[in-house]
Amino acid sequence: MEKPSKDEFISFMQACIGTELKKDIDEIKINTSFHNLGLDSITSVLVMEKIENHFNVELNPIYFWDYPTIAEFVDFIFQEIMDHEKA
Amino acid sequence: MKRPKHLWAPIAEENLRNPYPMYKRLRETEPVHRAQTGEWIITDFETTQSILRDKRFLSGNRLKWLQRSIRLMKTKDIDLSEISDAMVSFLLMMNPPEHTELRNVIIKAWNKTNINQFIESSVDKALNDLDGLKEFDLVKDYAQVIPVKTMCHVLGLKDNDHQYLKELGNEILKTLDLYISYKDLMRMNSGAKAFSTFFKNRIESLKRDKSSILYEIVKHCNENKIELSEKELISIAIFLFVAGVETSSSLIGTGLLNLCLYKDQLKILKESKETFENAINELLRYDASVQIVGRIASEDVEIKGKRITKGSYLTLCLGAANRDPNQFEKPDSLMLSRQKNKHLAFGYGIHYCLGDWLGQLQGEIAIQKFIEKFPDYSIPQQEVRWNKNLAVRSLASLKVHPS
Repeated sequence: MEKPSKDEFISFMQACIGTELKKDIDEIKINTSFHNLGLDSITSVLVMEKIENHFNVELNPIYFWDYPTIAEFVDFIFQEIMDHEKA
Repeated sequence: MKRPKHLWAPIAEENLRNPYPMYKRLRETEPVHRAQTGEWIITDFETTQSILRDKRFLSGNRLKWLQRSIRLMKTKDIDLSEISDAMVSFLLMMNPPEHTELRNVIIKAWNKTNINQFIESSVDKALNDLDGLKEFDLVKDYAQVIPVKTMCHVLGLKDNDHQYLKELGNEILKTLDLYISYKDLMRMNSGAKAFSTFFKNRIESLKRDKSSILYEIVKHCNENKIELSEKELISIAIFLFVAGVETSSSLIGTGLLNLCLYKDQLKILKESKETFENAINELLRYDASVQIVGRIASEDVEIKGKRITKGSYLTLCLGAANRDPNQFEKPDSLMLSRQKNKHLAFGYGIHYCLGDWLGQLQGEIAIQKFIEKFPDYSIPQQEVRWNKNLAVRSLASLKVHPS
């Protein structure tokens, strides 16, 4: 697939997390930590799997802790993974 | 990639290659460190040892996590029950009193006679198979071959089962890894299923085979009126295989790598100036197979001024404790003649490795005979490839030139 824009990535993550936590997308703030949103090490496994499949990227489960908000996570993905894959 | 932003970076490639600088930073900054992942990372010798013998810290953090995951997945119609079935009798995840009872059964069932001879002949055979080769893979062609054969022998399995089980073992080993993905869970589940099916098909005959440890385990349980289901017996078989193979294989592979990097130490062995028993202990201290074990706090505990609340997970870095300068002189040097080498490579306390003698014995025989046969072995490659699992540190492969 075409390389997604950051906004697409963010919207997709919000939708996934919203579905997992049964919350409206407006409630999924990009600067609130995953933990405070209500995700834990187990529910995050499911969210990460959806992201991997949708964008065809490989993610290590620890990224969820290393980059603990949607904003940080997406920045990291775009800096370190997407660019590397393109190169 | 830039330097990881957290002190605790167990998947960063540089740390998988060589975790010791990370351990050192952690130990010097905060030996009891609350990581970004929420668990406590312990890197000094004193604290690691005291937690290992402290009854307030229980085993089974991985199993608990897996069981919670399995429950969640079940609500999504994803069945991962094979994983928990396979692990139901994994000693290292159990607690007293069940742990004590099962551990005693296995220790009593273990028949140590003739194992020495068996290992010697497997080592000789493995070395003969390397005859005439200009290059081979130390891991696949040697280090793994011996423990797989040994554990098949202990369990009473046939020679042709070796390779199949070895591959399944790797899938199960993932259960001990630190952070697990959805795909890992799926692979673990199918690995666990295949392993269980393999033993289910053979369990009746293994229970009657006097050469199998399973026969002795069943006999002992019957004599002492201990209930043991088939599921539990199969889980014991899987545990013995998994715990016995990768650890010993890592000791042989990593040990021969480190001896090749420290030629002066290799020379000491070649000139018989040190016993292989001491040498193996130092190789284990220097670069242990099992780098990490987990615990859960069963109540609030204060350690080194940090309040560890009930239910917290702790990650004890045995490999870091073994390099603590407060316990070991020149901890980052391999010194085969080291005195007072009370390392934690086999753990400590009630979960102290019950196969330590077997790992040690295989390490001694395999390394000694290898050095005798290939005294001038060398490693042609610059970069060494490690498996992506910090909890059990082992080489993915290692090309070796025998002379």
